[in-house]
Amino acid sequence: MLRAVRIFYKKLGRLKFVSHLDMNRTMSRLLRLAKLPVWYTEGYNPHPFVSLVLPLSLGFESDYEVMDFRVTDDSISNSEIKSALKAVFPPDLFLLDVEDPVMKASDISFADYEVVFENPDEQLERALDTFLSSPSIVTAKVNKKGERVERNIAPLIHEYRINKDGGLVLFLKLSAGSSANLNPQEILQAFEESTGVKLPYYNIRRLMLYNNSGQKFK
Amino acid sequence: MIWQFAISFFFSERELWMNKQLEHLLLEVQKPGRYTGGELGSVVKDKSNIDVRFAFCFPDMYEVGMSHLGIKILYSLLNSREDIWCERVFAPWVDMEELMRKHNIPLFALESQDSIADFDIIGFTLQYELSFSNVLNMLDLAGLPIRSSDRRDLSPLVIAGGPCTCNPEPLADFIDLFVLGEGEEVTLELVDLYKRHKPKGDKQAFLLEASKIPGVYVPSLYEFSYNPDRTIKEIKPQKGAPARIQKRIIKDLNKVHYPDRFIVPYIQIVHDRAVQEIFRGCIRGCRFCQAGYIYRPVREKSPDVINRQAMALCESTGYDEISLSSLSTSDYSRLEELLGDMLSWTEGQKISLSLPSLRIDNFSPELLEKVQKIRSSGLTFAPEAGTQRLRDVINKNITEQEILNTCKTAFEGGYTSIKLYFMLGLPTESLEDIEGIANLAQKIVDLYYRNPQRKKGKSVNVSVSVSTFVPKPFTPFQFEAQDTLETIEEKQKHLVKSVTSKKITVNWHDSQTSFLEAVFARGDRRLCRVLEAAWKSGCKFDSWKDCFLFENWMEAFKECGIDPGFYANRKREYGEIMPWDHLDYGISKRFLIKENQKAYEGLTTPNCRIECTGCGAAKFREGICVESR
Ligand code: SF4
Repeated sequence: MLRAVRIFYKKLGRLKFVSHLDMNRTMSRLLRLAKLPVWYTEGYNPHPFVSLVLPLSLGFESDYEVMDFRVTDDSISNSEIKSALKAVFPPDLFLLDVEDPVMKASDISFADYEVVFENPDEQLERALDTFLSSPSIVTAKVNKKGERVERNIAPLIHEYRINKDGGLVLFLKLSAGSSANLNPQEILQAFEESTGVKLPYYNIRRLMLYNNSGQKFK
Repeated sequence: MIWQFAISFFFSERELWMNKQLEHLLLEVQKPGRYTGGELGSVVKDKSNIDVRFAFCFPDMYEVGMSHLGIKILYSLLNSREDIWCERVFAPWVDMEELMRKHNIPLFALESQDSIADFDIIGFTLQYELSFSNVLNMLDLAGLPIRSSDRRDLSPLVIAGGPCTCNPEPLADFIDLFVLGEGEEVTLELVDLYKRHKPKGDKQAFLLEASKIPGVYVPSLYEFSYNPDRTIKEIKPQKGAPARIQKRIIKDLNKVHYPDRFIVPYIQIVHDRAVQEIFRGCIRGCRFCQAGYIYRPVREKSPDVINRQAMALCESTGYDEISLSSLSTSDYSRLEELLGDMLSWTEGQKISLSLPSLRIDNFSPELLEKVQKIRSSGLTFAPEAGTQRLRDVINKNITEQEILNTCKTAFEGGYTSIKLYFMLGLPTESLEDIEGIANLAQKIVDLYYRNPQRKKGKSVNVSVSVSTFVPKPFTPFQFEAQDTLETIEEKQKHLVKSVTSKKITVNWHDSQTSFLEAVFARGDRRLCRVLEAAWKSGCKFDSWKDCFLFENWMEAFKECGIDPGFYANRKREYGEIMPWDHLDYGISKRFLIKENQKAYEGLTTPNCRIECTGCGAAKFREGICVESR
């Protein structure tokens, strides 16, 4: 019997430079290495089926990545899967848990992010605060047809906090998932464009995913 | 298990990064995964326990270098020794180079992210002439003087190996020593000698000792003199260096080190799969093909060794594809047995087996069916020349009938696309031979439409890929002139005119790069200055279309007062001293002359399995030369 399995892991360090597509391939290889009875896609070139529930941008770290796959032998337990995967995961891919899926990937509605700025200057905190508290933050993109489309991203920012201990840390709760998605990078770019302030180097990390009633994505 | 090295040195999350400055830059470049290291299977050691740090440099980008088997073998071999830490270095792509120069980040090795200028040995692999400018650029990026004579200390010692070392003269001023032939044994001998000399640090003393190791060529110990007509007058060894340097070969391939793990990259590389070597050398002797001569004699691995090694590789990497590697898969003497053995486990593990350069004409039907199931892409052939006459001249033993028979089988098996490789500018080529290319392609198209079982509505595509012939050292055509660029252009036009069907597509390989390749393939050390001048004017990544600066190259030749045509387009006398005449690859010049003469008579030479024609490689007393026929 096929059984769906969901794993939760952190993606850290150098692995932030591995793209979504490359992660897919890497995960599929790791499943092979772990010798799990994974379900393969049908077709000409069968490979282990894996699905990363929400793409992570190149350059981001994450404390809460979620991936689904299926096993063909339902007698294997989640804890057996966990120890098999632990043995093959590289150190910058830290396995948290192996569970039965509770929610659907399409249930994802919010994501928390943390942006850590390196060597920020004195004014940055104020400037960010002023910018983020504005009721309208308009960004523009060129679509596939070559037309300029504007959107107000302010309603997609559900919460923000600026923390000053140990450098400058910006916490963001943003709309995420298939219906409305906001990438923190889009906010930071809009900030640079509208204020003319060049941001210092920053590192973005995704902290958590939630469904639309604000429960942790499980 | 794979992480046994990595895990012991990384404890906390934050330590996963070593170089903060690098991390910042990586967000600004394309494909940052090229520069991060830390892939599955990469080897990290504790520096404090290491005697010799070795930077293995591939003078091209990550995706290309990581696909190369030689680097995997030597990386694994060197790291199997506790006193050596071998790391990888690739040429940073232009965007990354710009940032590195701007922020003063010297060229670093991927594993430790340490600058390679502080390493003990920097070893380049020279796979193609068009990567020479990258060698200079990488030395410069490392902050080292590019000329060997300007690097006074023993470390870092700059060495090079690979097929291009069969004529390394255009790099003679830059590289401290070259390793000829197969590197598994001699590299370790060099490292051991280096270790003994490291405390004293006397580079000259070391080089003199090194020149006594068989297979090691120290170019600064040889003096070249020239005739008034610019040909070489004499190659004179100095300070007791050997008059001739013989390449190294591995005697027993079943016993030589083979990696039981590969580094598995995160980003997609050119050949992203496990690779299993099955034999070295080639029995064929196509007269234009350097690889067919310099790796002689043929030495095979036994099927059980191949099977065992291949299984271990798949097991440790998680790869779902394994490819057999050799110059010509079909010439492996026990192929059917080997494939049977391998398919018995690959199928169950959903591993696909890929067999490059395979001739399927003499397979049993069952095996053919299995192999066809595996091969998803189209079928490729390399007839190289359009007529039987010219194929005889180049000793390409493939007949039109063989090609058509295989195409017929392929079409019946559902294939609809065939790829053919040819060369223009081969010795004795006439317009008729060029028309022959178009005719052969047309015959294949016609054959497709004669197949009654072909799928309705599906059309056939025959793609014709044409490159320019480049005469290479240690081939019977080493004496030949390359066609000038004008002549090649006319021939290309003639070919296009001869093709009438829309089902045939013709592609070119750029002939300007082939011209430069011809100059450097048979060049001498007077070209060092040209290489330096071209590199200074911005030449690098010459094999990449977007980077190739032909005008700059021509300007560099002019600046140095050197006529590139002297090297590429001049026919050489049999008696002329070639820049590589002091290097011994086992192939005698007498044999090459005889083969050259036979080419002009249109006479073919049987392959080594049928008959030994006395090329000279028998002096290694190994492999096919001593096996019973
Ligand atoms: S010596 Fe004879 S058998 Fe050996 S490689 Fe040369 S031609 Fe072949």
